[in-house]
Amino acid sequence: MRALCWHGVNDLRVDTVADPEIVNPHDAIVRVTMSTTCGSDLHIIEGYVQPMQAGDVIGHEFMGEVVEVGPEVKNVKKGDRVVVPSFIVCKKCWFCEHELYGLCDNTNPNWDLQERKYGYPTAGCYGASHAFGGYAGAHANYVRVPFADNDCFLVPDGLRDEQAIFLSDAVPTGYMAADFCSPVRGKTVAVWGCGAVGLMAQKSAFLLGAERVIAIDRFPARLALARDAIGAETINYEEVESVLEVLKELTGGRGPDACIDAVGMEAHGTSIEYGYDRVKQALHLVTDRAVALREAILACRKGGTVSVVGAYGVTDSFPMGAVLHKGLTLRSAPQHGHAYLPRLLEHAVRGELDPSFLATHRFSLEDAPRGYDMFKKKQDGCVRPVFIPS
Amino acid sequence: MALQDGLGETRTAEGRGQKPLDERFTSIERRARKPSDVAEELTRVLGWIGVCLGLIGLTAPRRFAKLIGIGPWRFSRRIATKSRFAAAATTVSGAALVALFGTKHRRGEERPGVVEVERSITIRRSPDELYRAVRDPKSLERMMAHFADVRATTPSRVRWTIPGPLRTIEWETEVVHDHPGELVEWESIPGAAIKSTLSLRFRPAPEDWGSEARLRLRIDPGNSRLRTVSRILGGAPSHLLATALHRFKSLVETGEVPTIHRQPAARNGGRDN
Repeated sequence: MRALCWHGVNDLRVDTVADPEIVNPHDAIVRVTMSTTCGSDLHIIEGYVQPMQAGDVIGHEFMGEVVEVGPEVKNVKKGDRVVVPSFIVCKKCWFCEHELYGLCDNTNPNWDLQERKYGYPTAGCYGASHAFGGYAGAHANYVRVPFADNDCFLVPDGLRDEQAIFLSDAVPTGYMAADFCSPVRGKTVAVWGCGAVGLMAQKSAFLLGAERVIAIDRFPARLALARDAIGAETINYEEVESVLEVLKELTGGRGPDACIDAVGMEAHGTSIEYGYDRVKQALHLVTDRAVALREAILACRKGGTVSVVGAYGVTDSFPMGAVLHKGLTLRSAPQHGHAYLPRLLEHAVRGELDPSFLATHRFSLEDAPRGYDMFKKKQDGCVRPVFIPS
Repeated sequence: MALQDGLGETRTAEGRGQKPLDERFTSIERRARKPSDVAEELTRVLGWIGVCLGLIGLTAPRRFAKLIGIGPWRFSRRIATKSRFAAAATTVSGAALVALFGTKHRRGEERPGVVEVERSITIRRSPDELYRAVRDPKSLERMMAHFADVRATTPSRVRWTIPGPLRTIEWETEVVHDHPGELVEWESIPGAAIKSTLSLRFRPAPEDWGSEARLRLRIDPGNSRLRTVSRILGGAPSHLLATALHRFKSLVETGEVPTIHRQPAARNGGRDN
């Protein structure tokens, strides 16, 4: 089959590789009909997230058709049209039983790599670094889905691929970010980042009853989407002196009740801290540029919640004093998508949630490297390119 | 609780995808290999020299650069070189410090050749269920598949085989302590090539966590002929035990061990081993 593979820093190629096969009894093989990029892939491609091995198949946001199932698969069958969350979950361990799916104990074969980094391992994930299990990714004709009964969600007939694919990751991640700010009803939520996850966090905040949503970014096309497709108020941080002051003024001097960071470690900024972070990153002394996170913490009202879903590695100059003295609640997690998928599919069927506008560009799988380049440079108003394997 | 055997043919291959033991080994543990005091002393001295060199490079870069023959240069015009030099000096110092403290953490020796380690894991099953699972020879077999071939010869005896590049090491163990819901302990039979004791102890965990399982291994190679085994295990006994526990946990909780072997990749002809 054909697959998009990582061969080194900024070196993506479409290669011919072997087809995946059923290895464990709860596996299924899914023929990918559509896959998409994610900001966290850029961290991998650029070499900030390790360890990777030359030849790894990347991509973790996808949907398709089940073509083969293992002997222990009960609920999923050949021919099912499914969307698959990016984290792989067992639904048997303590964490899964408590709906903390991204923390599953039983799906990361490289638990030891993760343990070294974080103390304890997370769940496995497709097409991410080997610390997340090293599972082959989804920018391919076929992908092996372990624990298929847990991880394959049937797509209702009325939904097109573009409407369903983002339920794999961007939507549940955004929804989780908003859910972390619960109770959201009546609140003012500020969201840093108008990429797919940020836009879905804004949409989710409204679905959960937020009174106002304020979106922060610097790309006019993305801010326009936040305004027109979501109904958020927007701040272009390159056009204002201080995001903090603008947010303060917009909220009667109180600050937003909740702040969501949907940007992560490669934040861009205009401050001195941005330069400081950029230099350290260039010298490989530290990996993260945490401009958005710092700003979110400072902007949040006293006693508010800061919800972090942008990807991070190691961050310094962290304003812990502001978290402490303002009594903030800091919440974060890898995606617990399985907890949200059923209700998100319901929203989609009822027409309350249509993320298809995120798919700004279509490419064949053969052109995926070009798609990633466009995505990285945010050319032509690109939010998410989708790839169609032939 | 019955264990699903899964697809039997994949079992032996699971171990092959593993990296060399030394690469995977980082945890601090009690090892009992004879230390080389001279080597350790040398490491320490070299380490401190490294730290000093790095610090001199940072505090008096001009003089230091001249001394080692790469200067002098005009810092004002060669900022890039200066910062690169500072970065290099920091790296030298840092690496030396890491090496020094790394060495320190790896000390703590016991008797030469004896390996004794213990690791724990929490499993969402009752102690009774775990006891029944581990008494099933099939699960012991799959639990240890990452480093040894384990076969039941009688209901209470198992044969361990570790294939080596030069020769295969084999020994037999039997259950010597058997307390349902609490403990199973295997010991090598008298006259076995290796003197080993392996025990798995269970106790209820708080709240809804299930049980805590503690795996303990003691290997005494006895005579010098069997140092090979000690060397194999001595590389990463703690990691071997932790892996066995993770495998056991996944088996009893889900009926399979997570793996990525035989998956597609653009290397080795399109597929991993």
